Amino acid sequence: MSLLTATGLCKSFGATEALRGADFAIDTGEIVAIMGPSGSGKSTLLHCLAGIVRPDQGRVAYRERDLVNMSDADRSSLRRSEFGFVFQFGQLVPELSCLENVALPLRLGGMRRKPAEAAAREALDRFELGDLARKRPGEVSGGQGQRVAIARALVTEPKVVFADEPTGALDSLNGERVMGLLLAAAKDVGTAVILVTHDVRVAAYSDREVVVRDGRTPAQVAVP
Amino acid sequence: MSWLNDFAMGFRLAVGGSRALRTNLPRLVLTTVGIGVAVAILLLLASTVTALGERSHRLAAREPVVSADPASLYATAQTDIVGGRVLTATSLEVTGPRAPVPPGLDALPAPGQIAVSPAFAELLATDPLLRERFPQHVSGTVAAPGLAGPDELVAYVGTTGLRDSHFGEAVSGFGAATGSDGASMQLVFLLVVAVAVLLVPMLVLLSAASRIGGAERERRLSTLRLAGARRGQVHRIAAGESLAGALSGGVLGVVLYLALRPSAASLEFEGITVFRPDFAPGWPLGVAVALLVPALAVGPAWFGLRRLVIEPLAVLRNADHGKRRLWWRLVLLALGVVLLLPDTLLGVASRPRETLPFLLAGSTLLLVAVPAVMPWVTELVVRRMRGGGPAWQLAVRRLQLDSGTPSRVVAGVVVVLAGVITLQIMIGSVAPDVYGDRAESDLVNVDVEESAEAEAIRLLDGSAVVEGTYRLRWLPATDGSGQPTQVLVAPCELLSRYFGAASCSDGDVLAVSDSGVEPGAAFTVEGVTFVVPSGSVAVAPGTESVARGVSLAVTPAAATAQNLPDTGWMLQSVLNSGSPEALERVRAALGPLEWRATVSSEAEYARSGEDFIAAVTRLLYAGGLLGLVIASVSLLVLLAGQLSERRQAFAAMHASGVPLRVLGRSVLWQNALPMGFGVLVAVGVAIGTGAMIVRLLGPTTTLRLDVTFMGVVVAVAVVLMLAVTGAALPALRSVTRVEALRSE
Repeated sequence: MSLLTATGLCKSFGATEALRGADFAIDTGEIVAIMGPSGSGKSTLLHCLAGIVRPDQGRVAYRERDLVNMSDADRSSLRRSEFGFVFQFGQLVPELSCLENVALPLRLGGMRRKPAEAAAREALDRFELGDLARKRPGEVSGGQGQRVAIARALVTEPKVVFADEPTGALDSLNGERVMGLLLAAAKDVGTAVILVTHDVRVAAYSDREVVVRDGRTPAQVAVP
Repeated sequence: MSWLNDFAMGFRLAVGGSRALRTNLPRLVLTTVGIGVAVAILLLLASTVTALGERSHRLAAREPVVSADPASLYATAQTDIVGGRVLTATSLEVTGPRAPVPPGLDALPAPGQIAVSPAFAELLATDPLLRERFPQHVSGTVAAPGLAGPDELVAYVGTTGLRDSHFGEAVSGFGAATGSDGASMQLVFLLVVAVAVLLVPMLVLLSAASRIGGAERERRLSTLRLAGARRGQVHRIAAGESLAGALSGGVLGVVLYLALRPSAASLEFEGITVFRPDFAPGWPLGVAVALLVPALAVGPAWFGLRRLVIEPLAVLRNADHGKRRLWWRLVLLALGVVLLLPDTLLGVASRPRETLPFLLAGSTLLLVAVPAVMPWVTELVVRRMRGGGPAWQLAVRRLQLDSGTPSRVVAGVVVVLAGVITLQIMIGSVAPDVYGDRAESDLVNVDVEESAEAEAIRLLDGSAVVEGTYRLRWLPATDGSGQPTQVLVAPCELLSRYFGAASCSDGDVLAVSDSGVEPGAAFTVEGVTFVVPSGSVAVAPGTESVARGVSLAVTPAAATAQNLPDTGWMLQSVLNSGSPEALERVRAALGPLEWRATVSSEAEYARSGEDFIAAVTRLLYAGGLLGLVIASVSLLVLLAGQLSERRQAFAAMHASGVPLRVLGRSVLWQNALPMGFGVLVAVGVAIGTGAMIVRLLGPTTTLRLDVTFMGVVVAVAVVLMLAVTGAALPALRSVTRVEALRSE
């Protein structure tokens, strides 16, 4: 049984049809890259899968639970505890230190400050970011910031991480390092990763590629 | 996460340091200043209300309880003005054992003794004329419990003869009155309008502050949603951000209040002073202010969020709120107008006591309606604007996209302008009716006890400042149709002055032309029928206040000829000057008569009115200026925020060849247009509100517009607006640099 499945997803923004019957499935611990040209609907598919955007038609099921008709509170709870997110930029709260940023999902879930920050420190150490704990996002480099974001995404040991162009704003060296860390950490805890990218080098890290073209998912390719 | 944790998280975000602090700090500082000043104002006003209440209690505590039966104490009080300050001198005669002692006194003064307040003692020691008037031996001091304020001039004079005079009242104790001292009603109105005028700009400032760094804030809230925060949680976190400002603002407000309290407590308004310990907010009002502080902080932030849908990827604006709704704005305006026409629309009796609550509620509602109507008016006007140069076009197009925010800020200015102009119109229109315009009058009235009349005339004739003293009296009468009127009996010397009669001789009767009195008409005067003789002289209505409401003026010989009652005489003296010193000399001359003669003067009353208007006008200028400065700061903040958020657009325009001066002028127009409408709306609302209030105050009160006052206030508003635009130019220069084109 797949961890997360989507069937017949359609989504329009005004007159623009972003998704026109896209299908998707991912198993526990699997790493899937969603590829396609700009404007093909990759990010919209990711957002629908994560329950951030509600599709006009189709079904999204996470562990047999219907994500489309789920309440906002339940979807927020999923994002907090079972999903993790890594985006290209703008995902860290600039007012909070790196440690506080990583502890954020735990604290939003009701954990007290000390245990939340202890877990966050552990996550930072795992990504060799212990020294940056007290620094704020504005005081660290882009690569370091992405690693903090990954630490935050994984601190709750989520079942799925949604990554939208996670290396898009980084140079190739930093990009490779970030991808290596993300996937290694995900594998450690058995987290599935859905990776949106148009970079074949990034897609090469995945187990499988799903190609999105004109809002459809005509091709699924296993990565050798 | 509990609610408290959400608030704590918001608080943490508000005080976040580093680069984020650069965005958050201005908001935090402005919120702190806005709430701080608002709290200080509210605490000062609450303290004023408490102090006035205490003052009323003090006045009530010394009010004699008048008894119909014979008592051990007889008293009569005289109130007049000495050196511009009100003096209350109470003459007391002890006629038996266990006479009640007024508060503040250890013992009652014996005949020939006087007990005085500390302020009066000071004056007595330095003013020889006053000493001449009160030559008694100072036997004691009136302590704080017997005074309404620390600088009050109060004296208790031991005397004789009161028991047998109609001037004396039998007193069984002290502490009769429970009401206010009369000044409170005016002050309450001033305070209510002052609160509205000062607090609305504060709310606008807070609203402007909550918009600083709006884009960054929305991005931050969106990120929190992505990290799993629920919608309600995000709202609470946003509220928590505002609470940081509330807390620091509350602290600043209390510090400001404590710093200003000593000076505020010692301020004198129209001779009214209060004791410093009385100048405290009191717990009910203190609690109200404490509850209002978080509401002031959180309210605008929460209100600003109502249109936003914060989602994990972005913040959306609710389309439902896009179109401005007019109905509720008009309801506010209409309610205000209805409340200001209570006699016509609600059938309320047109007496000040009945109409005052309507007047307060109506004028406050109209002032509150202004900020609500302003965005709608601005939007309506701006939508129809076309053409013009590039600067004008840029400004108009920008306002067409979002005129709400600048017009809300300008609405703060409008409330201040409308408030102060309304108050000025009201006071400027009412005061001349109340106080008259006789500041130079050289007539003084002497109300004298019958037995002392001859002595009073002798003393007055002996004074160097008195040119002549005459006897006169008013007699209540009814005319042929039963309407009540007054008959004035006075010698020709006075009647000629009052009515400008070309000729007058003893035995003449003067009929006031607009009263419809014809020869042969009969009046009933205290049971005696008085027939207007055929040779009566028609005269114009009198200008002096003593002649107002008089239908018939009769010379003494004519009064005697028709057997008019020979009672109720008083004296009037013509002085060689209308100066305060001449009046003091008259009072000093009559000093030996003590309570038996009371001197009053139209000039003194009119001067007190002029002082009152001057004091209120100064307050209005100060309040108006403060409000305008606050509103200008809001405008500057808003402008800085806009420039920062639109830096890429400005940089792109400048890079593509739009000169800086064109951009500068567009910013100027962007402020000037809403400000222009604002000033027009303010003047219109003020004149309209003022006219309705004046109409309510009485049929004889006419609307008087002080164009100079309006001009000065409007000019200050315009100058501040120009200054704000000028102050924003360096920021404009900074955002138009090429570096601003970078987005990440």
